[in-house]
Amino acid sequence: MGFLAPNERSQRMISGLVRGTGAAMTMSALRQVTTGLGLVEQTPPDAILKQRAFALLVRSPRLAFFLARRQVAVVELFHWAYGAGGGAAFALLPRSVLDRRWAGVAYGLGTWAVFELSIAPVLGLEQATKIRPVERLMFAADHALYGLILAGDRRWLLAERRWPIGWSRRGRHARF
Amino acid sequence: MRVSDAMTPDVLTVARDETIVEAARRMIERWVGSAIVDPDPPGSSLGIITERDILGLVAAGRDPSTGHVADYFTPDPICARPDWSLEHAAEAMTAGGFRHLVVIDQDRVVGIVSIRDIVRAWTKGRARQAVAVQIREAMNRDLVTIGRKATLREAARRMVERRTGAAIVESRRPNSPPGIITDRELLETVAAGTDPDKERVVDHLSAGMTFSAPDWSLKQAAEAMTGGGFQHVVVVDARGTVGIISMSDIIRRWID
Repeated sequence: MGFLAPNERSQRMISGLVRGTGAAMTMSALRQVTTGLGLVEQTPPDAILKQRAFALLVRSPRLAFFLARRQVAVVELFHWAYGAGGGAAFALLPRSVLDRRWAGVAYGLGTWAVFELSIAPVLGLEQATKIRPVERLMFAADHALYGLILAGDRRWLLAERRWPIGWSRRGRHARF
Repeated sequence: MRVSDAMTPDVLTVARDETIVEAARRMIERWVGSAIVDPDPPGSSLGIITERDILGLVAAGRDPSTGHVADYFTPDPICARPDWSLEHAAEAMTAGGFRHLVVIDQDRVVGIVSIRDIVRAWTKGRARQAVAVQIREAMNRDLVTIGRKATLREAARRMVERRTGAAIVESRRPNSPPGIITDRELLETVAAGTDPDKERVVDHLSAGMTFSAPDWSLKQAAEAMTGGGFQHVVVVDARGTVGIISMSDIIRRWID
């Protein structure tokens, strides 16, 4: 993003990574409920591991052994990392987009649409062809929640940074 | 899909008076698990010798270097026709408990179809609908587990007793991956002329194997097997090894 100073860009990215991780964790908590209630059968990261990752694992039995034994933790970590990446990308959106009230929810729904329209069909996941309406609704809801938590009230992105006295964006300078 | 679409037309043929070691060596060289036994005299019924037959003779304590094909082959095997459907061939294999069918057309051998050929063909076609089927629905929970220091003869005996083509070999440490030994490795040791009473399983573990969780898709297991060139996947969860799945198990589940 050319209009962001390198310092501001990295600050935003770090904030985006942290908030994205937190938002993905919240999303995971909601999914615990929706899968527990039987509203969702298989979450997207779970589906990728269980339906399509095996081809990669043929060449690495040790990795396959680890993933098969620790899949619950691995799936969650993968999802949080994905959420963190999404958060960083969100933080780099133009200010004109971030100014909008709906920016977070729209972004969350956008990540869901990307999965539904490209990742699931390309990987041949079951979700691409066989998905119940209630499951689709739950996925939309948990992605909207992700976006909502990620954006928050957006002050973390939009407020002008207040520098300590004697400091500026370019570093410390003498006050005369 | 028909048998003719999946079969291997290039058939390995061995003579009745060949030694088991020689027959095993040729099977390994051609990377096949069976060979047609030449009708002798010509015109008489044919036979087939498979890696299972060789596993059986090792388990029985016989010496492969002195045994001959004539003593161990299966005469008058069940044969398929090229126009059979793959489902029909798979049903015949499952019912008979074998993994190869000689394909005959007008009293002439035109090929051989193995369980691997069927799984490969189905992975491309019919298995697309099988993504939702989980490995746990087809896996074998009755495991044959042997110690790392067991001899190959002992491994063969346990596998034959339990009518399976693979045994789990205990891991070195509690949380490290276990090994596996299959009838393929035993065929290789016979081909190499090694003594199955002196060789230890730990030195002959299968290099071609992988692991899966019970709830991963059966289609993935089939793809891994055909892509990796092996016939078994060891199924593990957080508690440890819980099952094993073979190509025969996959075929049986798909027929059901």
